[in-house]
Amino acid sequence: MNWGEANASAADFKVRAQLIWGTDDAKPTKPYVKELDPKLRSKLRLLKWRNYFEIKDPRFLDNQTFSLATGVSKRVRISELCEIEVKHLGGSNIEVKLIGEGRLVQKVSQALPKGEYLFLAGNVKEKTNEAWIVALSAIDE
Amino acid sequence: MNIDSQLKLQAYLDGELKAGQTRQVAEWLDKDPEARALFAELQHTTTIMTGNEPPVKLPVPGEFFWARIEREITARPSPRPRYSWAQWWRVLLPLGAVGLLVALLLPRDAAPGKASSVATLKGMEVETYLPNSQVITFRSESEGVSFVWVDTR
Repeated sequence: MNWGEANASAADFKVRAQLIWGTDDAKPTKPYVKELDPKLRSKLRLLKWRNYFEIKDPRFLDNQTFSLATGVSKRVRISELCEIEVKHLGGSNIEVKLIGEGRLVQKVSQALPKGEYLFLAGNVKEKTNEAWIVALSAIDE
Repeated sequence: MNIDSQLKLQAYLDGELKAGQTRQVAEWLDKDPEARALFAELQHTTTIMTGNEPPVKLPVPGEFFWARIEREITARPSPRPRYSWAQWWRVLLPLGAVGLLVALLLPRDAAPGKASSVATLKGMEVETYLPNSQVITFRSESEGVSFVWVDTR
């Protein structure tokens, strides 16, 4: 099931997930590498990279928003090797599991009010000038 | 050669002398082989030290660390002046900041499949299952952003 296929009710918590690439290099030529929305870009100004691109690979992120009822979790693939599992804990609280190559890497529990962002990020192995960033935000749509 | 002369040579090498003194030392070096030998040795030492200094890099921008340290500092109560805490504070504050930085940089070992809790922000819980990784959390209320950074290098 794609993310957008989940039936949403008014009480559901709606989440957007975006995969972002931070780099000092120029924009790659791949068609699914997009310029990052300036508003989101401004939220990343504490990080040190020169450029940020959104990775919208249709194989994984054809629909970046999904709805969750309280207590329900959803697992979505964001890249070839990485998945996230988001669980709605009630209110604006979520639990996010980061799964790399099928193994649980990290679990984060945090309130995510509308308009705020939770960034899970890390370095790219052997590369000091690149970083991956998963941006999660609660939305109204 | 006395210690003052040796120090003058070091200052000359470091570019710390005034123009007149620089001229004098340059003339002295022209005439004195012992001074030239010491100067060459000092130059060599400087080159070795600057060329082989181990690179210490933060895994994320310094602002991450500073924001965390700043928050810790401002959260602490002000010292009471009648006990002259201000004097202690000058010592304890840098030590505390360094201690916090070290704590943040310490690798959090987690056995495969077993979670290791890490230092977290208020209202945030983070568990990492990655061995030999460093996890840093950061929150900006004004920006409405929370970061969880995992460094696996």
